[in-house]
Amino acid sequence: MNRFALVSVALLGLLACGCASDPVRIQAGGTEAVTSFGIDLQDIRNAAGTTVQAMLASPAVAKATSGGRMPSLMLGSIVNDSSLNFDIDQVAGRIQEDLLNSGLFAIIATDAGAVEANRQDAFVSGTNTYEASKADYYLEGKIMELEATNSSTREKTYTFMLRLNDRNRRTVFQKTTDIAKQKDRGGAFGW
Amino acid sequence: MIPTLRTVLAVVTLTAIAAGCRSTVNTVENLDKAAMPTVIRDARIVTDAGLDGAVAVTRLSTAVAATGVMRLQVELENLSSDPETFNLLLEWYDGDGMRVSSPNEGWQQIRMMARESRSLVYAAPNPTAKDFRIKLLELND
Repeated sequence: MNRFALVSVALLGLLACGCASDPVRIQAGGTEAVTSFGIDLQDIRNAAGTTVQAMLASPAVAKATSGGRMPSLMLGSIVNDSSLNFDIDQVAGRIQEDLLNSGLFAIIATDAGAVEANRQDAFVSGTNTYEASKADYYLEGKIMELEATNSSTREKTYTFMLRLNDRNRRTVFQKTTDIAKQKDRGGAFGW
Repeated sequence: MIPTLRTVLAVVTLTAIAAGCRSTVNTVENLDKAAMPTVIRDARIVTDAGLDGAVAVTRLSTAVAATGVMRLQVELENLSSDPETFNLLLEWYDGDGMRVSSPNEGWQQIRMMARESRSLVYAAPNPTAKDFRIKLLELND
């Protein structure tokens, strides 16, 4: 192998392994976080936060909580109809936490431990377990996705639509939050 | 020297292109306002004069919702002739000055068109939140 080949191989090796850096901690969902074309933590926080803020200021919630009442709320299904695969609890759990910490709602737990404990208590006291699982309000929603493209640009809009329904199956509150992202398509096959 | 027709056309085209690239937002609103917002005084610490000159917080007003939570309206204006993208963070504090946090608190990326005015409305995480702090940070591409 001549000298030129050796130098070339060494340079390629340096290029291949010389660019990596040690991982660093960043502010979660902060300004240094990666902005992807999908749904990031910042998007989830913004969508969930916007929904909760609108809910806490809504006349429907004011009516439900008037006179010091603390209505109970159960998290229903939030359907992810977007093409992205992510844990829906990233949205649902954050909304639930904010509503719980607002002091305006009581949240009904659905975990197996709480359900079983409630069943045992009801058995001992001879009461109905069904009462414990009844909420005054149910939160449900949907995450959707729209895509638009032209010759040079690709755009995606993620829509978070959340509804608060009462026991009479009336929707008393609804909030839609859109998050749009755009990027260049790049080369001829740039997707 | 009398300019030729080609020169005149070239100048007109270039001017049109230049003007088109810097389109700004025109705003019209009712002059006699029905609303009487509670405008509040603010204290500012400016460390990025560039951002401060480009995006201004023109007014802060508050209200209390029927649920007891404080509502805040932040009115922003893009003072520059170009679209501006920046990050905004809102922190809430209770009556004792202690931070009231939320799992959904975080930087929010905002893009404003040239000379656009926009009102952003926020609600406090719970009725104990009484004070706030707004942080603005320019987006570094």
